[in-house]
Amino acid sequence: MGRPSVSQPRRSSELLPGTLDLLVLRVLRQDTLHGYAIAQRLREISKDVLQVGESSLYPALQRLLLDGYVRAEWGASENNRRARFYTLTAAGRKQLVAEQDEFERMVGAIQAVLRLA
Amino acid sequence: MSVARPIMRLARRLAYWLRFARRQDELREELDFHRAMVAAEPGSRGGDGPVIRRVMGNETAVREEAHEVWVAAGVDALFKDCRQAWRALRRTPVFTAVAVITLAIGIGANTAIFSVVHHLLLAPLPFEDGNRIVRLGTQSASAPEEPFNLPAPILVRFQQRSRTLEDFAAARSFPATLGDTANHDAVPGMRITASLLHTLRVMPIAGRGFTREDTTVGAPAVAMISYGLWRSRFGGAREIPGSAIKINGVQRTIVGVMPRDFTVPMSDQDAPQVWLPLELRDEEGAAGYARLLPGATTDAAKRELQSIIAERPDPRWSKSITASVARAVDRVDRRLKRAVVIMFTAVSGLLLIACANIANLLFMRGWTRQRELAIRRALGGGRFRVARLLLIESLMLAILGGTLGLVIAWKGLGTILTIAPGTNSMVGGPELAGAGISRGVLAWTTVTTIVTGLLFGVGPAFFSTAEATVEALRTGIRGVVGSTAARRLRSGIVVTQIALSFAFFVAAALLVKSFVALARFDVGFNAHGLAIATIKPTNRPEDQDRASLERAVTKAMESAPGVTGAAFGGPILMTDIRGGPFVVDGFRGSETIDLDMCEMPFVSRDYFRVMGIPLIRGRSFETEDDLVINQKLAQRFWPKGNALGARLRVGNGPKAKWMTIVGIAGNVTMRGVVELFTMQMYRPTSAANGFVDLVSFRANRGSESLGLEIERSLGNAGVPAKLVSIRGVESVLDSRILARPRFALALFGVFASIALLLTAVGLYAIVAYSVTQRTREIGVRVALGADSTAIARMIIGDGLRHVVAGIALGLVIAFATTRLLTSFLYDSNASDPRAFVGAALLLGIVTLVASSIPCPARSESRRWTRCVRTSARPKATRRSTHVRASQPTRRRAALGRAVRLARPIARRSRALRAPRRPHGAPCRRRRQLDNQAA
Repeated sequence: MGRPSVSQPRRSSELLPGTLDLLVLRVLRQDTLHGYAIAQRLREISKDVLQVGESSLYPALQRLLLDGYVRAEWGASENNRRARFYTLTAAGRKQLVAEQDEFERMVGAIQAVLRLA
Repeated sequence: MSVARPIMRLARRLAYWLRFARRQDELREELDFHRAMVAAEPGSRGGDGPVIRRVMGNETAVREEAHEVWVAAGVDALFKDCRQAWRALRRTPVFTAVAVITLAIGIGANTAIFSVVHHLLLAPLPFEDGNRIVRLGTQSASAPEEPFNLPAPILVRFQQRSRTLEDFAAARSFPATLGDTANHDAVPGMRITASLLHTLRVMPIAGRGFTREDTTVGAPAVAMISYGLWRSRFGGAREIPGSAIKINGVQRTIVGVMPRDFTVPMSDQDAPQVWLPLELRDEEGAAGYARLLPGATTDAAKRELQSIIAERPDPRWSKSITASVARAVDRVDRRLKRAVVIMFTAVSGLLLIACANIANLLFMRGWTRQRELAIRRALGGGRFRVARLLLIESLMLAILGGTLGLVIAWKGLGTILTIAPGTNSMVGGPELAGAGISRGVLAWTTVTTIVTGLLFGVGPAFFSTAEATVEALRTGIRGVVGSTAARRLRSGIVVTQIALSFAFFVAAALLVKSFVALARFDVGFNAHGLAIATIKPTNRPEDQDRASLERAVTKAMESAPGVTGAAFGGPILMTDIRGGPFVVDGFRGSETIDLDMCEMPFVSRDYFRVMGIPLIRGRSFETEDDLVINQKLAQRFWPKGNALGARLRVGNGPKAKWMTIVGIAGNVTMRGVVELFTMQMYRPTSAANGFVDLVSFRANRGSESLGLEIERSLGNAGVPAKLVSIRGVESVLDSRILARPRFALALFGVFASIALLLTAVGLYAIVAYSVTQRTREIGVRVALGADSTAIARMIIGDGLRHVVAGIALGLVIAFATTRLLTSFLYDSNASDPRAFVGAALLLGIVTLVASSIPCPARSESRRWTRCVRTSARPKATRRSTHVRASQPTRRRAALGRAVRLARPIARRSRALRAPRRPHGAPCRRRRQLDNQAA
């Protein structure tokens, strides 16, 4: 399904379009996390470069829910509050592999252009 | 995957919308949690200060954006698709118009008939607590479906003692004449007891209902009028109560107006226009109405009524007459129900044909749009997405057609209701009044429209998008659209269409045959110029004066200009004379014979001459002990032909006396009116209990409009009698016997014609479609020397195969469905082979013509070969009248070109003239496998 998604995240201008979905999927690959934890994890790993606000995170999560790539369940957070935890589904896992390959191909291509042109 | 994913997405979307509120709450809670976590971060100042707002953004906006994920994609794309579809339809106005009109006819007919079904079979009675209302009457074993009236004394006794029913009332219909005799209107009228409106829980819309005082002797003459009469005759004026109206010669004061469409349930008559008060004091019968007490059943009420009837058996009654208590909810008799079911089956079949047609058109449309569809897919439209666009086009067509169909139904229903014949008709009667486009009907039409759209849209959308690939766009080769499955589907559609049309034709043919037989049917008397007058003596004549009064009336009437003969008595359709038990002298020891369906009218001596009923043997009456019977009755009891001179006694009462048979008259049969009455026993008027008020007369000009002349001539002769009404026998016969079959025939004729037209178009479409698809193949064949006859044979053969398959299937459908018609056919068998053969022939011819239109003409050979070269489709495929012999040189050149061009295709097309693979040589697939192996 190579066609572009209809509603792209509008406010993540610092990210390549569609990349946030990929990053969220990747973060969820090992763990079941709630929304805040996903944002935290992204920030920590990127050493504070990627500061994902809820305005782009939650629409992205809804999109992944709609596509059936993640599943959401309510559970208790580390400080014992009710929080919604996201888990990757089998389809999401497959999508992650596909998107990651695509992304790497893309980055490789861009780098090639930047290096050689 | 490609199909499952969008469906899963759709399902998830639906799930979201179904739990919209909960999902919103969840999102809010989730965001609250997020916000709380951010606030608790070290470095944040806590609370909801400006820092948080910066980090968090506007919470509502976030929620909306998250929500839009579930909305925007779907709704927005749908809206865009709708615009696209609308533009696509606008680009092909002819196609759109044809499809919309076809659908509108189908859906319109369906809606119109459904509104009848809804009104008759589904909608509740228009009376408060209506399922408690019952009709009381009698029924005869030989005609259990036809309820008769109940004698008033029985009704009164029942009312006094019933423990199952309450709120008794009665009604009796009568023919009413409005205005003066010279300028009168004959309308149905009904006498009702004061309690009837209360029993039915109905209130007059203006004025008041009848009261007990209205029915007392000497009370002022009053009447109520129908809503229709109020509007048409009095312009719907509010102050109508108090106005005068002359009904059957009596000046009456209007006291009230009935509600719109008000009819008494299960009445045997058309909707009454005038209502008079009824008091149950005479011997005459009436239909009883009552309400079941809570917990009471109709069976219990029936047993009660039966015991009351059995208490004091009426000697004039046949034993086979029993009590009848029927709930008004079951008002629709079986016959009408069956007729409605037939009609509904027919219109559904029609709609199916329309669907099949549009599906075929859409297949063609999909083919002509291959390029467009391929571009859409090349630009990134998934197959599902493009198919969805096509499906939306279909739905849009359906909605347009459905809307127009609703208008057609609305207009058409009015027409059907006005031309539908009256009581006991195939479709029609008082039960029909009030059928309309209600909310239930609208819902039905909406569902039908959408289902129709999907029905004809899914197949073409699915298959048209299958081959519209980027590959196809690049090579410019239009593959044979769709797989074998698509081709089979299209053929299946056409075959079904032909089969359904065939069933329609058989039905129409059977109805035509039945109608012709009925129109030619000999009723047994000469109806031409015959009319029946109702005469009322000014004073009740003494028995000894009756004969002279009769003579005076007959003489006066015969002296009226134009009248050629007059006699007392009237044929059964005008009277309501029921049979009774009689004793035939010497027949099985003179046992009492119950022939409740033997007509026993009182007639005068000249009746046979005036009516034109032949006296086969013997003579007419001389004395009051003389009797004339018809042949049927004579054969029944005197099979040896010795009826003349035999003796017969009617009834067991003290007044019953032996009468001698002096004549045998021809049979009078009125098929479709009173089929049960085939035996007649004519008694002289002098043997009657009272004055016989019916006079049959024949005139050499418009007998129905002779009212003034007859009245004047009665007056001139000083006869103490008044003319009450005149009814023409011809028109009554026509409306009673022929109206129903004519109506059925007209409807089925229209249906069959539409079906034929649609089927012809459908078959043309599929053949033309296959011709355009096989352009290359045909071009190659032509180039290789196939002549146009061979090509035509091939193409028509294609059409013919569909026709044969369709007729074969149609035979099955027709055999199964025309059985339903059996009870509506007169003198013809539902599986009459002539109807089947005729239908097959007609259909065969029409469809063959339709499939021969797209055949290429001989002179077009070159064009076909050119088509191969340019891979264009031939523009027009009409058969040219100008046939030119193709020149050998041209032909050879064309052949060379075509062979060069056709090489890649030649491999694919079957049955070319290329040499066949030598026996034993490996086939292509084999060779490929060998190569791979190597």
